[in-house]
Amino acid sequence: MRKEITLAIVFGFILGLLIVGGIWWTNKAGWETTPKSQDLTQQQDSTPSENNSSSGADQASAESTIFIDIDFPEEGAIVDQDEVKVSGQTSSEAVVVLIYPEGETIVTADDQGNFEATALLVGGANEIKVTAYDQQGNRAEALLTVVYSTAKL
Amino acid sequence: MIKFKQLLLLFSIFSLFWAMPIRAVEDSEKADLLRKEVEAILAETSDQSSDRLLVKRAFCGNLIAHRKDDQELSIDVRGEERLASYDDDTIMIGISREKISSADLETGNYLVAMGYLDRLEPGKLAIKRLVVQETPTPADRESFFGLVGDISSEEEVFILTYDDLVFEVLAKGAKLTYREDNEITTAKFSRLEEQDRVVVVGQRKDDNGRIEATKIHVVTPAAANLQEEE
Repeated sequence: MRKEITLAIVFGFILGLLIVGGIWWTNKAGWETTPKSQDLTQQQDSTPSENNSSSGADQASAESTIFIDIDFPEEGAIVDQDEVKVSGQTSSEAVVVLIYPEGETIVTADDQGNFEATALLVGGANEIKVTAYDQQGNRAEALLTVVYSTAKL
Repeated sequence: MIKFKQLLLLFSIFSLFWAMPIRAVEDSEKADLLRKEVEAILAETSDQSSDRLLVKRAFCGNLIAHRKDDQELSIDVRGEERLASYDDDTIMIGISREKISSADLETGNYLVAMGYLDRLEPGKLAIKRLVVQETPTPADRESFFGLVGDISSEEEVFILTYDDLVFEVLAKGAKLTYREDNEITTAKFSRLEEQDRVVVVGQRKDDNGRIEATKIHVVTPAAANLQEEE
């Protein structure tokens, strides 16, 4: 009879281990899923800057440490007004020059590197050249095409 | 007594076996509920989802290829080939603002193709309006960074140097600005000093050694530069 009791205890212990192991495994699977979704968010967040890079932004010279990222407008954006606010990030307190068909604008970035400047537009395609200079003269350049059209699509 | 203990132990073990299916049933119920909620959200947004996926965009560049059978255009957008498709409803405007048809499109035409990009298929634009225009000429103005050298106040001319580059800047009529208290302020030409670090926007003239300036911005004044050097 003692043998049977011992067997029952061992069997119960193994079963308990299996249950605890199963719960632990389920929880672990849940933890692994959560970081994956965070990674995806980070990838989505980084997409705009990658797009800008591929569209001609971040063309800083090899020696330069200055950079420029355009947040708005996106390449190929269509606007229905004759001016557009260009905003983005560059090095802290860099001088940002916008050259567009109708003129040019010079602004300085704030201590966080954020800048915003207005470009005047002509009807059709407008190429806007955005150049940032730091105090040593290092430069970074981005090109942007914005279409001004009031036609309904 | 021993039998009772045995029975108790077996009962505990079997109760666990019974509990597991119950838990599984609860999980499947939760999954059903979740599925129903997701379906409800999808049904609610189904009308708007297609709009959310579309983004208004333009491809501007020269026509590389025109596949008439597929109603498809290849456009050179800043050195990158982009695809755009049109249909019978696409409005096409010629270089003289007249309405044209797809047959009038020629390789090399500068196109402003406006339409919608599908976020799921961002490589191909569905054109709603296509305008043929003259190829835009790049802006004739450039920006230059440098150190101010000799200044002629009467003529409003100064020398700008950066590394090995030396320019004569014609500043008559140019707007001079500098930064003061985080604001950009306009100043007279007389405020410009030798050793100021400036950004000049203007057009190269003659043999490119001259710049006709439209804007001059003082990045750091001479005094600050001297302090920095000390």
